[in-house]
Amino acid sequence: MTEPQIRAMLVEALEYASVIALRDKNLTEAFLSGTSEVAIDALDMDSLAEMELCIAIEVNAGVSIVPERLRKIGTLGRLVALIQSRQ
Amino acid sequence: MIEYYRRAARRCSSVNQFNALHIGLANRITPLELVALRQAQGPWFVARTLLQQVLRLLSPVSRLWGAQPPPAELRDRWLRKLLGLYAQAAKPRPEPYRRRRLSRHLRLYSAGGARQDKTLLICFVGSSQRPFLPVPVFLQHLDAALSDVLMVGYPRGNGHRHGLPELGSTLEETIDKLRKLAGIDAYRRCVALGTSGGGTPALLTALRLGLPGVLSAGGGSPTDPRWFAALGEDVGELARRYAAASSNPPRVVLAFGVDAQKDVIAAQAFAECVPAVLRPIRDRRLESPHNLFQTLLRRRRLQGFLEATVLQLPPQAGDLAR
Repeated sequence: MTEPQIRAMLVEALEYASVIALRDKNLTEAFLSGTSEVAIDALDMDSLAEMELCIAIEVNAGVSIVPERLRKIGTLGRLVALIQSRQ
Repeated sequence: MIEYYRRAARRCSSVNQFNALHIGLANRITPLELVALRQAQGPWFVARTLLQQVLRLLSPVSRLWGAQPPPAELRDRWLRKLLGLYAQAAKPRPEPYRRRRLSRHLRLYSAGGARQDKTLLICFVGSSQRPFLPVPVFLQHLDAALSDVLMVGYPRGNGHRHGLPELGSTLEETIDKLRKLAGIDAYRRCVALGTSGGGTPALLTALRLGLPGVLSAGGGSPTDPRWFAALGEDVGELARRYAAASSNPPRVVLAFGVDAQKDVIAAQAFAECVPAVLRPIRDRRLESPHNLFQTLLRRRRLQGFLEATVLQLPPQAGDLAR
């Protein structure tokens, strides 16, 4: 997957997990274009949403990240980089 | 169920695959199935899970970045957490609901018995595909002798806004077909419940079908643009039209966690569209978030809350006209 594809996949996964923060169109577009950074803590995900995001990453990108590690990654941009490096 | 779990677990090779299996099960199984899964773990389940916790704390290896626990530990951890929530109901026996699939996105939970003596609770779930809580935990807080539950899911990513594909191409078509498919008229009473994204469709269903009561818990806004895109009008306007056309409008309860600011605003806005009772949920010690059933569960008030808001309505207002 290319970087834009990974970003689009993450946005879709977060939408499925009903993460409200990314319903902000401007923020989503800025993240998709790589011009804005989003802190994972700011997404206000519950444990179920974290699990669902990790499942989506594994299913779509074949990269296994456990939910316990997600918050330690810090930002969605770093998550994109991690997925790219592990593919 | 136990054999299904064993077969499915054998196919899982990562933490995420186990989590997917466990989420799927927690969104479907009955209290009886949960207890059966617990019993299948043998008499040493509690001791084993405690030992696992201690070893995890002590072992530096398990704290290493990315160390994956063995499958048995993942299963035990999930079961222990689920049983902990289930135990909050403080009932000696599991509620004897049985699950029946009516269509791809509809499941009926019933313990049998005469429907004319029971209430049917039509439950619209939100994006987590569960009524805020794992299904066996939620069902354990109801009385299987008095109520059946119709769990209404939806295709992922679409929400309830376009209805269920197996029942129609719009939400209205879906609502109209629900009456017959669920045998609503055979019940003494039928009420609706919606959690999170299920709140708005529960409200529309109650208004359109003339149900006596509806509870929307942490429901969405009447001006949600996604609903506007699906309906071509504000969903609040549609609710207003349904309410105006109804000769006997339902008792509408809009509940929200007081710390979930978006839910507070959404409930207040919906209360301007249809006559409704606002029920703020607060906890003196902890935050009261979007998932207000979690707050009520912690305070052991969930069953009483469901009965007071939607399940036990005055008989004159609640009985279906037959």
